Amino acid sequence: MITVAKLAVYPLLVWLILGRMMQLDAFWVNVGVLIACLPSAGNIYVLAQRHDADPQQVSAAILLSTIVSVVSFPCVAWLALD
Amino acid sequence: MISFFLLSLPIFAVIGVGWAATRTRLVSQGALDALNAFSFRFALPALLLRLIAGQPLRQSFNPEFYTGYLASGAIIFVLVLGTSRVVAARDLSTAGAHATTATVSNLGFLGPPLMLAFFGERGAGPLAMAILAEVMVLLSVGSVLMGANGGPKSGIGSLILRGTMFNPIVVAIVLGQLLRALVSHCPRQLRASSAFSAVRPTRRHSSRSAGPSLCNVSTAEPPLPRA
Repeated sequence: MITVAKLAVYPLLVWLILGRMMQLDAFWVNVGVLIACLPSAGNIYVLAQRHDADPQQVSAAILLSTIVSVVSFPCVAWLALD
Repeated sequence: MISFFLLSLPIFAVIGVGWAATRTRLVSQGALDALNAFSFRFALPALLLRLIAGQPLRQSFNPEFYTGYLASGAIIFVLVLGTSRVVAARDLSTAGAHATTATVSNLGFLGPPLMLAFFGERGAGPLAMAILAEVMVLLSVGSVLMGANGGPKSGIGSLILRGTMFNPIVVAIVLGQLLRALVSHCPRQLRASSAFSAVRPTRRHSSRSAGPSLCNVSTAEPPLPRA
């Protein structure tokens, strides 16, 4: 769920808000979408471990999002830019 | 299509190589920590400072983009927080960790190389805005929620302060924008600095010759790949 939200729902919402609702320049919309579909940050694991906030699942989500984005990032880039 | 893969694959491959080097103990934990610290505290801030200071302010400071991007992140944050808390019945700390993981991107290490590869140096402006939205706001709120079930606690004020004043990447972005706002042309020392020349891999994708001055990169066309 976390990885789907990060790599699919988040970029889609950025596209809807920046592109459809706010109608910003295509350059800003495209960069925003591509930034949003980057994998989760590694330092969240450090915080989750420090606070004992489900570090295992956070770690798994970071790893999974990084692996999936090897394929998903260029696919989104292709959809957005081509 | 394949050109998009070819553009991003080497950057992800570096992560894979780093992971393999750690697993095979080719790199010691001490060296890894030192490399991480150097990248986060010196190399990345220097790169961002140079990129932001070298662009017109309107290309690195866009309040509309910042508002829209932050709103998108906040909506996803609340949705994941609510789903984890209510549907999955997790405690607030865990739900906060899930929401933060679903919204805070790997902007420090993957953001600059990928955005530079796909958009050229113009990509640094939106990237800076996104860092300010995700690191300053979402990560700070997430940290407070993660600390909700005990352990070391910090107030939202001190976390935002730490996330801004003591975060080298955020400081570099703000300083870069201030520098650009204060001087009409970026300092010659910054332009001439060869110390940062290694961070210009995108030039090979551009039709322009290598080594342009920083002050006119804003006019450069982004080196978009053709599928």
